[in-house]
Amino acid sequence: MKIVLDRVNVMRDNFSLTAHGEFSDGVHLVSGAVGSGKSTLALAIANVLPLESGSISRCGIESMMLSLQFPEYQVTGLTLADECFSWGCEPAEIFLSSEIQGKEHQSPFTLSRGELKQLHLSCVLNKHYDLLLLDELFSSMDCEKKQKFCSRLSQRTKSITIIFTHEQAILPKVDRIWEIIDGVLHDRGVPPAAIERWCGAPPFIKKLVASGKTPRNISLNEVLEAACRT
Amino acid sequence: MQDVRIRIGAGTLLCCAAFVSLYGAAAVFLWLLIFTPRLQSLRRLRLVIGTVVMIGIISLLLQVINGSGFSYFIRVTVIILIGLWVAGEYQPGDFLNLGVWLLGTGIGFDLGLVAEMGMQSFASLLDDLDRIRLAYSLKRAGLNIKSVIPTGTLLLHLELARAQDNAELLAVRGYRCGGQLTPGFTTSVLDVIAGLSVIVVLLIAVFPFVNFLYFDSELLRGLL
Amino acid sequence: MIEIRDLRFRTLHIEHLDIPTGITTVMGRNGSSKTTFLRLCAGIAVPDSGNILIDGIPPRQIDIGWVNEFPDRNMLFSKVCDEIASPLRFRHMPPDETDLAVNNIAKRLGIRHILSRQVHNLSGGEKVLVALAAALVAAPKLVVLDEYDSHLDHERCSQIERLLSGSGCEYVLRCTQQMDTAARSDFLIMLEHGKLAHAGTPTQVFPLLARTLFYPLSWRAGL
Repeated sequence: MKIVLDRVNVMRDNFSLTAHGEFSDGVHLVSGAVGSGKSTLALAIANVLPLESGSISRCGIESMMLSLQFPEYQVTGLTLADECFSWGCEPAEIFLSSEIQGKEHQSPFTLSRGELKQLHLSCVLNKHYDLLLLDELFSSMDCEKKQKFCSRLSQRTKSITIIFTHEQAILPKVDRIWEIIDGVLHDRGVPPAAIERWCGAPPFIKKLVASGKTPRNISLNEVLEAACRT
Repeated sequence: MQDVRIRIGAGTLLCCAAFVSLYGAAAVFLWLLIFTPRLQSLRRLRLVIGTVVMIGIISLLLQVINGSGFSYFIRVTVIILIGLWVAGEYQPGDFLNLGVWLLGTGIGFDLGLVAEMGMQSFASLLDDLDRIRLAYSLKRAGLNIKSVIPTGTLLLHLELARAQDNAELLAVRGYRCGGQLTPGFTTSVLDVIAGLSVIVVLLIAVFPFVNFLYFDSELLRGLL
Repeated sequence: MIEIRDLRFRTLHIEHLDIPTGITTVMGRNGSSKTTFLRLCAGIAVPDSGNILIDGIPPRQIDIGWVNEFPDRNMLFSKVCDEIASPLRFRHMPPDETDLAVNNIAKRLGIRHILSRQVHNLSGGEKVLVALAAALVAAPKLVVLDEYDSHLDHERCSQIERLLSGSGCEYVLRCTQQMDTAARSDFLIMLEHGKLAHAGTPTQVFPLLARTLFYPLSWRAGL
C-alpha cells in the first residue's frame, strides 16, 4: 500500500503547494505553520481538491477517510445516535469510548467542542481504513484525550495514517516526518534522524536535540525518556 | 460600478423600467450588456439557472392562463439579472456606507449593519452547504431526498449559531444602537455615464406606456 | 481583584474565588465548563445566582475584550479595518480618533499591512491577531480569550503571548490546553466537572497535578 505524489501542484485561492514523495504503510506526521498548506494537501490526497499538475497514485488503497479540522463540518446526523450511524458505527460502543453515555437523543451541537471532536474521532478510528487522513487531530482536545488518541493511533496496522498538525506537546509515535515550508512538502525521513532535520519541531524537542539528547521518536514517553538521559 | 449609491439607484430604476414594459426590459438588457461585466457578475451560475427555470415554470402557467407568460418571463428574468449584477458588484462595507450616507449614524448605521451581516450570512450559507455536501461524500452518502431534512436542519443550526456569535460579539464590543462612521465612496466617470444613461432607459420604458395611455384616451374620446 | 461568590450556572458552581490582576489561565478537561466560566466573566452569559465583580463592578458595566476559539466566529465585518474599528464606532467615537486608534493597535500587533484586506482571505493566525486587535482597541479592563491557541502554531502563540503581556489590560483571562503556556501565567484555575479543583500560582497548582498529563512538559523534562 502506498500513496505516491508525483510532482503534485495544488492551488487554493492564491496559495500554491508543491509535493513530491511517497507515503507507505505506517503513521506519517505532516507538520507546518498555520496557513502552510497542510489542509490543502489533505484535501488533495483525499481527492477533494483537483490538482493543477502532477498526479497522486493510491496503490492498494481500497478505503479512505478524511477527518476535517472542525468536527461540526462533518456532522450530518440530527441526533448523536444518528451521527454514529452515519459513520457506520454502533452508538453504544462509541458513547462508551467517548464517555458521553445518556445523550443518544441529543443534538450533536449540544456537546462542547472537545466532546464533539472526541465523538468524531471515536467514529473515525472505530473502523478500518486503508488510508486515514487526520487534519488537526488534536485541536480542541485536552491533554488526556490527546494521549488517549495517540495510543489508539499506534494500534493501527496494515494502513497508512497521515496526521496533519501543528501540535507542540503530545504527539504519537510516527514512522516518518514531513513538513511544509514555503508551499513545498519536505520529507525529513525516519526518526530519530528525521527529528534532527525537522525545522518545525516543538521547542522542547529542539532543546533536547541541541543538548545531544535526540529522542528515538516524538511520542511523550520517548521524549521524556530522552530528557532523563544523562 | 464602484459607487454603491449609483449602483443601488440605477438598479432600482432599472427594475422599474424592466417591469413596466417589454421595451423597458429590452432596453435594460442592452444597458446590462454595455455597462456591466456580464457573466463575471454571475458568481453562482447554478443558482441563476435554477432561478430562471423556476420563473420559466411560472411563465408557462401564465401563458396558459392569460397569454402573458412570455412577457412576464422576459421582464422578470431581466429583473433577476439586475439583482444578480447588484449582488455581484457588492464590496464589503458598501451597505454600511450607503446606510449612513442616506439616513445618518443612527438608523442608517443600524440598517447598513443589518444589510452587511445579511450579505455575510448568505455567503456563509453557501459555504456551509458546500461543507455539508463534502461531509456526505466523505461518509459515502450523497445529497438526496432523504438528506433534505437533516441538511436543512444543519444549515439552520449553523446559521443560528452564527447569529448567536454575532449577537455576543456585538454586545461585548459595546453596540447599543447606531455608530459613528464617515461614509466613503469611489465614483468613476463610467459610473456617472452609466447612471445618467439609466434615465434614457427609463424614458424608453415609460414612453410606449404613456403613448398607449394618450392614444387610447384619444381613441376613447373619439368613440364617445 | 475579580471576585466570584457562590456562582452558579448550569453545571458550573464556584463558591469562592478571587482572581488577581495579570494573566490568569483556566484549565481543565473537555466538558469541565471552562468556556461557560469565561463567558460569565465576559458578561456574555448571566449567572443563575451568585455574582462576579471586577474591582467591584459587574462585567456588563465595564469594557471587555473577547476572543473566541474559532477565528471565523470572531468576525462581524468583512474588512479588517472595519472589524478592528467596530468597538470604537459602536461607542460613537469621532472617525478621526477611531482611525488613529486602529492604526496604533494594528502597528502594535504588526498587522498594519493587512488593514485593507478582506478577513476571509487571511490565514488562521492573522484572523486571531485581527480578533485580538478588535478586543484591545478600546483599551478594555479585562480581555477574555477562549482557547485562542487551539488553531495556532508555536510561533504565532508566542507572538500573541508577548502581545498579551504588553497589552496594558489589567486582567487577562484565557483558556488553553497547552500546559507550557499555562506555566507562564500569573495565576491558574483548574476546573473539574464544573467545580473549582485548584487555584493559585503555577508553582502552587502544578505540583498537585504532577502525576497527571496536566503538567508542563518543559517542567517534567527539566528544560
